[in-house]
Amino acid sequence: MSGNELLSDQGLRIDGRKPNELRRIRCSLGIFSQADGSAYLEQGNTKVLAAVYGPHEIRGSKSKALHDKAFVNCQYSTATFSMGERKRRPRGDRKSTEMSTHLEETFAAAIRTELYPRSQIDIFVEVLQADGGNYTACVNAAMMALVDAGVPLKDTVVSCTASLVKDVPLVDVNHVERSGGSPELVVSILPHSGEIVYMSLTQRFHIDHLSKVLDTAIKGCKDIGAILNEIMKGHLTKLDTSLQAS
Amino acid sequence: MATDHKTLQPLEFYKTFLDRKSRPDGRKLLEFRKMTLNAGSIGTADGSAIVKCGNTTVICGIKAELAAPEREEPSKGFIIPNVTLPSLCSSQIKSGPPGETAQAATQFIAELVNNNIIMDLETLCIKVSKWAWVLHCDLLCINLDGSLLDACVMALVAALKNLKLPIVSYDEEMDKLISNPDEKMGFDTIKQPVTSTFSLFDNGILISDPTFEEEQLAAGLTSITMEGTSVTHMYKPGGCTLDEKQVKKLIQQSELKTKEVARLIEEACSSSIAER
Repeated sequence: MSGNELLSDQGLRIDGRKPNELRRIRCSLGIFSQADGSAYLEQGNTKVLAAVYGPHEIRGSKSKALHDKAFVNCQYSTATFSMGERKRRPRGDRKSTEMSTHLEETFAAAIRTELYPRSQIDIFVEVLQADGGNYTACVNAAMMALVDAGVPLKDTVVSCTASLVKDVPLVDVNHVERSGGSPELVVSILPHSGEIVYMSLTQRFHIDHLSKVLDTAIKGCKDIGAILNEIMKGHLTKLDTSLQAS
Repeated sequence: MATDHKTLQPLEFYKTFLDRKSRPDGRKLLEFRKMTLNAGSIGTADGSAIVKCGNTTVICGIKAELAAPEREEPSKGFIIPNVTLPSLCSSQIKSGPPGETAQAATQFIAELVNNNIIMDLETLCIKVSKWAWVLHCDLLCINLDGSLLDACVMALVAALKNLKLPIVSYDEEMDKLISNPDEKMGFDTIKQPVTSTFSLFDNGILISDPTFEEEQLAAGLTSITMEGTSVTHMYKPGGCTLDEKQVKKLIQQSELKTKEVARLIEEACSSSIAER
């Protein structure tokens, strides 16, 4: 355990951030012509692409159709060159399948699926460069792509991670901190209602710490939500002015 | 009105444009789309490049490994290309195992590699019959809008030029490899092939750099690969026929594109070196 190095005596993290500081977020919407909605998101060195197709007719086996709501299909895939070691299978392995299922469940909770019975919404995410917090970056990118596609949402979904080193909660954990053996709590919330849609914890810490780590993660989610909201607004105003001009 | 015509009779709609020597996106028949190239944007890869030809976007990431060369060719390294078309790149691509388009593109690139059109594989050898570099070149198409091969070849060449590997030498006495991770080297023996794709229509009309729609409507496709002024590879998978005069015209057009691409690669690689 290199817990001591992860947080210096001055209270700074390995990449020079403060414990409650997020990594830089950059995001652009509507980058693909083919997809109905798309987004590219950078959270520090983690770079993710997301594309949304639909709502459209059910593809493949018709048995997947739900009579009262839309079926949300997600695919999580990591590029073979995204990590230190070359990844043999970009998708279809156990980890990616698990991630896909989590994404499906998260977005099934956020999308107003009841508006599109018997149809399908595809969400594809591709991790181009992985540096920790892949799942959270994917959720955030997919949410932006859904907004770009104009799919009705109950609320935006934002996701963030938090960790605990030397009893200090850290927000938005990167790869070094994650592989340094510190615990990681992943939380996805609906920021307006404050509801938690997804939560997972790796490694253990004492239950007394849970509330403060969870608070840190939720605070992180809300901060990310505010940043993404600004980007969203900027994109929509640009769209609006270009529409009025034409 | 125009959109109705387009959905009901796509080919007729298209031919009205061709008769007036223009295309729906405003290009002339033999005009290429705007190309952009960015090298070295993915930090986790040993070499990388992103290419945009019109809407078609391809990312190439190279990961290097060490392995023993094949017994039949003990002085050659390996380049293993792999073209992936994930379902996010187009609504026409189904998820699941790689489809025909992806496999055909992979095979096309592998052919260029095996014919030493991209680089001399012997430069990847560290010690004959003991150690050689394996370059896994993964080409990921993130937006598919026609002329996939053009973008793939361009991305691959730019990523190879961007490639930086640790200097590794073989110690005979100890029988092991010695490397210094701080010192990096590139390969300067990479050739610069450029592929240009053309669509053919049955009335003898040729168009260059087709979009996805144009590829679907066309009666045939041809890809010509050139390096400088010499033709290194030609690929025409069936469809309608070509005569000699047309082939000459296509080669002329490819030559123009070759110059433009060479300039782009030069620019992108020199700027990414300056950043380092």
